[in-house]
Amino acid sequence: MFGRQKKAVVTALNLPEDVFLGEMLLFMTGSASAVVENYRSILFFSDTVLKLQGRNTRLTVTGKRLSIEYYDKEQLKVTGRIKAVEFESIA
Amino acid sequence: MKRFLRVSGGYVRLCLTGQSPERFFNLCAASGLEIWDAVYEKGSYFFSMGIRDFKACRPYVRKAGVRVRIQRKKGLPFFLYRNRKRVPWAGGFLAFFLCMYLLSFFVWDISYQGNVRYTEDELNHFLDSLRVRSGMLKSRVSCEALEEALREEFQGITWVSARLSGTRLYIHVKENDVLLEIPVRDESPCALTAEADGVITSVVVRKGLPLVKAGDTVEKGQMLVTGCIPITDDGGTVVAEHYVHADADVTAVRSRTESETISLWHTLEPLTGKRRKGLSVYIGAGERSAHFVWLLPDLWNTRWKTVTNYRAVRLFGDFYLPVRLGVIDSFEVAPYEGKYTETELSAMAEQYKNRVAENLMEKGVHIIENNVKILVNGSVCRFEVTLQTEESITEETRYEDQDEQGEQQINEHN
Repeated sequence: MFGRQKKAVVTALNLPEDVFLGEMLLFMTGSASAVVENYRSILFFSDTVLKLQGRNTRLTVTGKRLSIEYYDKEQLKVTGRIKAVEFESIA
Repeated sequence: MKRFLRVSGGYVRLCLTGQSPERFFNLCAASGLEIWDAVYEKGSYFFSMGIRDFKACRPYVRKAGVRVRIQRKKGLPFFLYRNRKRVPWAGGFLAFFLCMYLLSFFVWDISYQGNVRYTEDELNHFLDSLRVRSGMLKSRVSCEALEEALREEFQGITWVSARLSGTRLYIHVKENDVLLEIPVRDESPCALTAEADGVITSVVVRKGLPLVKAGDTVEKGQMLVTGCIPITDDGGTVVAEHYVHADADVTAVRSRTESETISLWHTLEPLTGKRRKGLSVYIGAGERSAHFVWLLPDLWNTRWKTVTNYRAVRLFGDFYLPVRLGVIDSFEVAPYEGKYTETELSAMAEQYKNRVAENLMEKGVHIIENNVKILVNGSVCRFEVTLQTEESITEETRYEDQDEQGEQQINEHN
């Protein structure tokens, strides 16, 4: 509800979208590791695919020999040979 | 840090199987349970978890319908539990740390910085006289008193800093680069005489009256500049004599002869190629240290040349231990008496000639000609260097000395 209006206000006021809209943050170090913040839950995890649920999007990380180095409520670090990262909107 | 905490607290490596492992992971994350190194292998999930978290995750195991099995137990609590019956081992472990703790109360190494004029041996000897040496208690070292004593003993040291770091005593000194005392000029009346035979090339007189000029040939002991200034009246008659300290630069061309005698036979020690290596250990400090040597035995009973490099052993940083470790390198030699060849003698003669020339040039002597002769006589060889030099030939002669010499001559006549 009021999603578009809220986004417009946040953009206009130059506010951080990850804080006010709960968007996922993704930091990548080459193709060897990625740190994801603001995720909600793990949907699926195997050695080739990792699916994460965000507030408005789903993130799919595909690759080889994927492993979760650590994770907690706030952030998750995935390592391995990352081939692709895909965002899928659920709104 | 995180790894250290995990190891010290203990953790388990788990294998998870079941229908919804992702739910289990999400439940753990939501309740703040830490999971790391999660991997998927052949239908099972492997991950690590702290001991407390593992106990707390049991409700979520049931809730998610998964099965968790312990694969490995790691960390300090499990290690201690496994080795609970090894009392001597634990005793040794504790004794090691106790030893380290006790050793940290002593000074095991003294380091000097900034000393050029005063050698380490000289400074060490002085510290030894103050009873500051390796092996003493750190609490007995008074850095302020030590600094003061060093400044008082060594006049050339202008600044000293002594500090203790770990088991090492650092002494940093700064030496005075300029002259400490201005030399007092000798103003007693004297004349300048020739210290050797030669031909005068230049005469520059600052005080006194010159008796020779450029081109004159002088003999050893001949007066060159007199310090006796005659005072005459208007008629030219000497009414008085004023004595001064004669000062002049009188240079002359003179000849010098230097020689060195060596034996024609000498011991040669060529290496045979055989080598032995070993270890030498000094445990303790000063004269009370124990010495251990591990070196392969000399089965052939031959002669060896041995070099040992010692190093003070330290645990980390400035935590030095009372142990000095030396690496022994021993080379077998086959000594024999050999005679110098003509080529070797020529090379040695040339070296001697250059050495003599360098020594003279350091004294400000200008060398005009330089020749060397090799004189072999039986089993000895003499190098004779003949030099033609231009240098100052003045020598101070006091008037009292001259008077004494004159009196002696008169007595001899009588």
